[in-house]
Amino acid sequence: MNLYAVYQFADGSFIGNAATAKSGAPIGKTEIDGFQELITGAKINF
Amino acid sequence: MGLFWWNDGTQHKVYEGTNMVEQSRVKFLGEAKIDKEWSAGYLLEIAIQGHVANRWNQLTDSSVSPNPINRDDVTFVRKSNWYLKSKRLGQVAVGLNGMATYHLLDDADPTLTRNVDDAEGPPIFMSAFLIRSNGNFVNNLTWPNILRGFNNSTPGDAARRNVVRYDSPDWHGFVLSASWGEADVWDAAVTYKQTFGDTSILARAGYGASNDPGTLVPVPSAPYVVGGTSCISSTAVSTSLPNFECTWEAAAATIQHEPTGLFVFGGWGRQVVDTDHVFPAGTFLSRTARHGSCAPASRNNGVRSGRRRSSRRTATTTPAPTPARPSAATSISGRLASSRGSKRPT
Repeated sequence: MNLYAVYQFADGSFIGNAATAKSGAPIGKTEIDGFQELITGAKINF
Repeated sequence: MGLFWWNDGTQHKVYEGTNMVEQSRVKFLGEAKIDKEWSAGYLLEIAIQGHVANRWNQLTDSSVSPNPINRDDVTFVRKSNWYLKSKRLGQVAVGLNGMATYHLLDDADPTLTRNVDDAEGPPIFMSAFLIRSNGNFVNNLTWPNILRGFNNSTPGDAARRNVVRYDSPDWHGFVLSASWGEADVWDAAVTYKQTFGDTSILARAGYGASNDPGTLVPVPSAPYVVGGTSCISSTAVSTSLPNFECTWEAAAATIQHEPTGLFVFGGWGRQVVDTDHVFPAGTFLSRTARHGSCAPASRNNGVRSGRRRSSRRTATTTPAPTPARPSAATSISGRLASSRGSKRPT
């Protein structure tokens, strides 16, 4: 059995225009709030 | 099962579910020797997933995917293919299988951490979380809507498909692989594995192309795409047609000092899409995304910290009307860590 922990952080920005507005992306630049995640678990081989 | 603590800057929770980097699976492999050189066999690999951890979001810890294989407590066939193998000429496999560039970035990492967090790990862990801007959701856009790459939002990695795949025998550490699937999906890759004294090297590079954007399953509430390569959209094929072509390329390598287990992993991937689809007059489509991470970690574990940045560019005025220009996405990832006694998944 192996225990593990993973931490990650993500942020960024994107720029939408008329082509992407249909999918919900605002026109212009949108800054994305940072997103943090901590994952822990165990891996077991049988 | 794993615990997933998340914080999107506005709210935070802890969910419990299956780490979908490598969910539980059962593999059946039958092989028969024909003679000293030739053998043949059949591989069947079945995924067993409990509570899927890559389909939830801030609003629910249940899967929000309409695709049956992305629901909780299901089993599905990951691989099902027969093969003919020669020690001298290599192996040909026919059926549901990983393409030559399947897990190209991930499988350049032979360490233990590959099992729990690989190059596809960051987008998998982002799952279906809604993005926020200044604390507000942005028209229900999710991280996968922003990131690119048709397989787990990882540019450069291909997927499992019904293909004919060839793998050459080892030649001084080099193995060549190629696959082709119906509707013209193909790719090729080279793998190099060698040990120099106390240092081992594993490197992979590959290229693929497809003119199949997949098949739309028109679930009224939430359509989704199966098969092919949904390089532009995983919920529609209309915006990919006509004359859709998606290409991807990637390279990655791990260098490891065997006595200490210290290793460095780095990877790069890119996806480019061409289509003659006419978007609204006066616009053309061009998207990029990149992410990277490089962090120290302790021995024999998957601890890593990273930073992922993404951007999506669609802008610029051109004489109207105009067909779409190529859409591209790039990913860069890296890892510095230590691992010993590792076993790489297949």
